[in-house]
Amino acid sequence: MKKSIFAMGLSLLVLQSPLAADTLKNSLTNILNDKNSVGMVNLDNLSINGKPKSTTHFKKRSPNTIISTVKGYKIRKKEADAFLNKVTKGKVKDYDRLPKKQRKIVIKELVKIHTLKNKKSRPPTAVIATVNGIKIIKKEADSFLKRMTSGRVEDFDKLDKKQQKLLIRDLARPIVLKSTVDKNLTVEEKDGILRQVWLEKQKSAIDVTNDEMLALYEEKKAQSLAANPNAVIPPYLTIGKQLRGEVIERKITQKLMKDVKIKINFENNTSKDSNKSTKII
Amino acid sequence: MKKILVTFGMLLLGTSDVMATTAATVNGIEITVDEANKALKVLSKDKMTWEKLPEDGKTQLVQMMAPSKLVSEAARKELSEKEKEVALSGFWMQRSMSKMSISDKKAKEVYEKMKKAAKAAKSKEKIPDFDKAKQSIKMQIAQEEILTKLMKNADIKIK
Repeated sequence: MKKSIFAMGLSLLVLQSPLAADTLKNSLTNILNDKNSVGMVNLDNLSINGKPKSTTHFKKRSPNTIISTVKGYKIRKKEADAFLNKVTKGKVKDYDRLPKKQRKIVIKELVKIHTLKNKKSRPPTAVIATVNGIKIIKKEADSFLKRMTSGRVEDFDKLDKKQQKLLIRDLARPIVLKSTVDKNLTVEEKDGILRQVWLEKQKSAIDVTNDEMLALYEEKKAQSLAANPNAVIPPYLTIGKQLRGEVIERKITQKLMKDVKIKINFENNTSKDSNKSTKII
Repeated sequence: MKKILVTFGMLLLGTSDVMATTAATVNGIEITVDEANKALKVLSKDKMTWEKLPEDGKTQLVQMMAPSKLVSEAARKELSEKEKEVALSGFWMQRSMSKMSISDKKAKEVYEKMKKAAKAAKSKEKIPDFDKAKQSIKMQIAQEEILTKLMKNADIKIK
């Protein structure tokens, strides 16, 4: 009985022994059991390059400790910790663990944020920049900023100088382009482009029915045959797009010429009114 | 007295000049004799002028020119400032870009950069082959070059 209790105690002791000794133990067991063994201890799995872990101890200060005072602004450790946590996405949370050089950067950034936070904003109508003499007011920059940051930042005055410069550059682009376009396009060119845009806009809003297109086809067919009885008339389906375009043009002209007041100066300088508003050209 | 007469004469001269240059008005919008003659030059193959045109011919011509005048007026009034700006800038940009020549080599460089950036950003969008994207990349480069040049000469003052 005494013997069996002793054996149980021994096996329990063996089971509880640290696993760290396994490599060495296995290697020793192999030497004893393996006939081909050269009788050497295998140390392959043991790291010999490992350096002892640094045991630097940091002086951990309380969150309310004032770590720096810049122009009356007292920076507490918890502010720096929160900033660090945010910029490192949670990787670094303790200001006291940073080397001196990095601490200085953190303080500089915190001062910058504090200054911008407490900077007084100008009124929305304040001129914040000029581009080729054209004024940009704060309201424009604010709304541009809001759009660019999806509503996260909306005050131009809260940006630092570098950011302000970049934003103004972005805002300046269309202004510079507009003034260049104004200088380089003739009145006729501008008129032509705007007319084209207006017509396209009208066209997209006009509906054309099959009946209207068919009526125009028949009208044109009759005209062609009247002028030349042997004229070859293309099938209706092949000129659908052209007919649609013509119907639209007629509709636009009709709309424009409705109630139009035309005055013509004839050769003898007598003025005659012409009110044939429904004439389709 | 002499001064008054001179002023009166000048006024008359001014009035007759205005009458002579205006061929017609459409809803108050002026069609000048010059514009009428330009249209006639094309229509009559240089055979007819506003002065020689009979009254019914003038009426016909003005009615023909009226819609175009009305379209211009409607475009001026109905298009928003933004629409006008976009249209005019677009036209000018296209014209400027057509005068530029961007090499395939340059386009390829930009393409590779874009491809690398997309890979770095782990973009799931399929990147088209260079041959398919070439033209649009060339346009982007041209547009950027034009804008960079414009911005270089811009006078920007931040207050």
